[in-house]
Amino acid sequence: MSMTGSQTMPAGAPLLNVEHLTMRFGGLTAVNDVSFAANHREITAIIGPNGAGKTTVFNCLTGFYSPTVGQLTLNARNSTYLLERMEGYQIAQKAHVARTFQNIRLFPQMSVLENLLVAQHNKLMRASGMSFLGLLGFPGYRKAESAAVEHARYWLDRVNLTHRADADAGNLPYGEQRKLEIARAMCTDPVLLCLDEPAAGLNPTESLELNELLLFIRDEHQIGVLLIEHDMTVVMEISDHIVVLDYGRKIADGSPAFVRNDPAVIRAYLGEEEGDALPPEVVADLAEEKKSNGGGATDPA
Amino acid sequence: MAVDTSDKPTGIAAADIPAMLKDAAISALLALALAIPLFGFRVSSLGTGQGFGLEQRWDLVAVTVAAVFVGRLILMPALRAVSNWLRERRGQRSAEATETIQTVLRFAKLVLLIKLLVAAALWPAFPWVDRWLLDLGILVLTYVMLGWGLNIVVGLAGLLDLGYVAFYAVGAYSYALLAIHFDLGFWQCLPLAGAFAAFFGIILGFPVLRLRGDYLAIVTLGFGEIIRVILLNWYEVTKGPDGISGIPRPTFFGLPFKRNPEEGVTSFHQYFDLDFASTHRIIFLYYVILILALITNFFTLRMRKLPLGRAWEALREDEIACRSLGINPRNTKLTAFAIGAMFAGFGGSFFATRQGFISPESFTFIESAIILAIVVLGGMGSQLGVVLAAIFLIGMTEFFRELEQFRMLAFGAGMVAIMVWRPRGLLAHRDPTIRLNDTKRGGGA
Amino acid sequence: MEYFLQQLINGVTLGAIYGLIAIGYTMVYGIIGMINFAHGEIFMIGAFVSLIAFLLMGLVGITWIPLALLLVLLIAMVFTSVYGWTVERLAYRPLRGSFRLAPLISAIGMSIFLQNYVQILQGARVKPLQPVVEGGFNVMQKGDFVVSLSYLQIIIVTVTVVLMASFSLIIARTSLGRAQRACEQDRTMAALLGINVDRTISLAFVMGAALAAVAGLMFVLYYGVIDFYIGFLAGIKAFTAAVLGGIGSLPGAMLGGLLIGLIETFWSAYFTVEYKDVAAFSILVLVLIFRPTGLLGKPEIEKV
Repeated sequence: MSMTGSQTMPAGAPLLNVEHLTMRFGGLTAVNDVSFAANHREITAIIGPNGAGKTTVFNCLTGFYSPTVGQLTLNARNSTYLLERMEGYQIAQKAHVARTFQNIRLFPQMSVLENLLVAQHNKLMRASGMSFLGLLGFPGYRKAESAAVEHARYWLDRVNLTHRADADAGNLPYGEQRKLEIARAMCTDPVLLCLDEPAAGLNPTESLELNELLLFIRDEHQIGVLLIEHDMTVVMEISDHIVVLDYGRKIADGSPAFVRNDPAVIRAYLGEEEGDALPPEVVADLAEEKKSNGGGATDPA
Repeated sequence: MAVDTSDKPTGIAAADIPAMLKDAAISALLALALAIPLFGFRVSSLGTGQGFGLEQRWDLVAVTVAAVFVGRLILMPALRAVSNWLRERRGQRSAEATETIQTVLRFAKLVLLIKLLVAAALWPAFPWVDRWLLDLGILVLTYVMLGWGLNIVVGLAGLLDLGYVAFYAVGAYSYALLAIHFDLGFWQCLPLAGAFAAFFGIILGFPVLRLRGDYLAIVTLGFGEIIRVILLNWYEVTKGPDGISGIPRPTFFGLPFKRNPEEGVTSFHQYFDLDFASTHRIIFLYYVILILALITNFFTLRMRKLPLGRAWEALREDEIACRSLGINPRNTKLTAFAIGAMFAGFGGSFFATRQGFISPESFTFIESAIILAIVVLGGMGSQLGVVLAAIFLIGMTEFFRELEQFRMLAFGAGMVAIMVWRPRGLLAHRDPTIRLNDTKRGGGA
Repeated sequence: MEYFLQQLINGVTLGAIYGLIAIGYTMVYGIIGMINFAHGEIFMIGAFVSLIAFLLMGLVGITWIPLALLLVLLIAMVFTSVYGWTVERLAYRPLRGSFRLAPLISAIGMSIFLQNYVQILQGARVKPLQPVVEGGFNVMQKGDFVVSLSYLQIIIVTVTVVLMASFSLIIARTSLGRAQRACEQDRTMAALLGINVDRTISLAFVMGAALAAVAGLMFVLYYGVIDFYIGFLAGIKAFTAAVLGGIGSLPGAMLGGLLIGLIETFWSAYFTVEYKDVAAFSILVLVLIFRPTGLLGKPEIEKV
């Protein structure tokens, strides 16, 4: 698929279109002219060695940084949003992009259920008449709150945390905190879910559960998922599409099978980290493919 | 990573005695260095016109150093042993036992709450409550109310406001000026004073609330000082350091508390056919502040269960996460800031009507610090904690009036100690505002 | 013109004092990201120790002024540093990694404590000091108005410049300064590389306190009176200076101190003395709103 964006969005426009994204901090260029797209109902993974600029891309997408150059277009629910022009909280509120964080950011002193209700803040705020009706005890708000609790319960059931609903979020074990953060992001009713290393620190069982959860989100809720991940087993198994970054540039973009065999990707990984960060078959491929090609390859499929 | 030996956890095994001695000796040496300049010498007047000289107090230095040595040697290991023992016991408790203890505690809290409420409601009726205790009750309740108001800002929203007293001052001066120049009564002025204070809160909050927490603290502190300096120097309006006197007293729905009311006005005791007593007004004031305080409390408890209140707490916990969930941090903080200011404004107009006189002296930084200490000591976010801390701190103040300086000394030391010991305050336990697995408590607002 | 020149001289002197205090704020902020609210009180203690040391010099019979000044300077720096170290050890170190607001509240408590501590030990009355350094130059004269530059002002500015220069050298050239800068960048990493982080942080407090002691000494000399309350306002103004210059930046603290000293002096000279504190606070608010990184500060990148 072509990565050069057009101003008018055709009917089958991608959910998210990133065009020429560049982010500089002083003299450091963390992300350099990166373009890619993420589709509805697909899991798009962004991979790359440490310091490749993955989280910076996320931070630009979710409004924590405003990009130096570039256009970030989101097409969903019959609207188009230019994310780079929106303030951070509006991206979640209006464009419905939800995210999780590399170092989990829950509200540790609040209960699990409260965490999920905070995620439904804007909806509940309207229902409580900006607090005025809620303060006076109008029934409309009570109904909205029950609905929000049910919504939270649905996601708690999905991540098997219903029995911990009243515990403080900060007291959950690490793996459950990760799952809660995803549930919380889903409670905002997003069209695009951005996950920053959701499998980090999970044991193999938990990792498998995570795969299932992400596939469930994609298939049942039909939203796009953008995923930063180091764990190649997760990435290769569930991604529909992979974007590879290295030193802030995009070096490959395509299906898992394509990316796995791309020499530039292999070089980037082996130049940066030990070989065992890659699945064994990739290492095997590397042994055969000694010949080098130009970087920035794109899967024509 | 400890620099000095004093940091290493030491048991009380016999083998440790030399180490303990060394540890205590180091502390004593440090105390000596601290004590020599300020304990050892005192700059004192040599008599009128003779200038200043040094008074030497080596006995004080010796006593201090000895006390530190002994204290470090005996007290510290003992404290450590006790805390270790407590920690072990806590570790041994099963999760269920903890749950039971929580339930018991919650029950005990409820009982305490009811007792306090009954005591507060009947306070003026107790036979031993004289004029002084009644005044003390009013004072404590004023601080309880201010504490609850500040609790919204600091305890719930996590915004460190060091200039809270500025809003209190705005409320007091609004009432005084409105009452004097426009001849408005207390009940008409009260909402206006609250609105003014809230307006000031928004004016200040709008530009500064996007700042990091500690910058906010300094800016609010500066704002508090600006308000005070303006009150001191804007003589035409505020009468500067002379203050405003002759502020109208509140009336009981139009009935003044006066022995001899003006022609055509019925006073309280005449209307109810009572003998005139000056305590009527005091008792009335007591109930006014009790009701104001309870309104503040009711409001806060209610807000905590609303999305805005939850967003405040979420902001205190993690602002970045809040942004990622579509919460507008600035507006949410602004509401907390303005509502906190509004309650300070109410408190201020009550203060003005109670005193009948206000001057900038009543609105110094130390007042902000006391209110903050009440919130911090009680446990940030804990409503009951504020009450207990206010009773303790203000009660102590009044009982030990002569020891003013020592009180503030203990005050400062107490703030440090509580932060070191329990950074979230004494009654820091927080109950969720809504429960999923407990239908009795669920259901929200 | 003459009036202006005189105010300029006065402003620079005042700015030197603020700058010295501001360095303490900026260093501590740079290294552990907290506002050491009690730093103003450390300055106040420095002033008291200086005053006591001066009186002690008279008692011991050291009357040669350069020697007395030097000794007082050393005494003030040493004993005030002990206070700086102790404050950090007792009130801040146990709170590392604690609840966000905890160190700041602890610092406020410490500030209240120290104020009353000095008040109890030394009494609440204003303490005067006989002028130690007298005389000066008449820079120019026009009619009755004499623009004077006192020896004291020369001493204050010279000592400040020398201290700041040597201090910058320490930070830039020595291993100690390297450790400081490393801890500013990344404390965990510095610890992994074998830097004793606790000691480095303590040293930041000690150096800040030593410079605040010098500021205290200058304050006693310049104004001739002190009380237990001087730390509060001076502290806030110095903090404003640190923010104005860009908190975390040493040259920024010096520049900020100079600017605040000048602004305050000119404000008092040309507008109203009563509102000079309002001027300083207003600048603080304006800087934080329009340029939170200050004049020389580096933009802070939010870590997500």
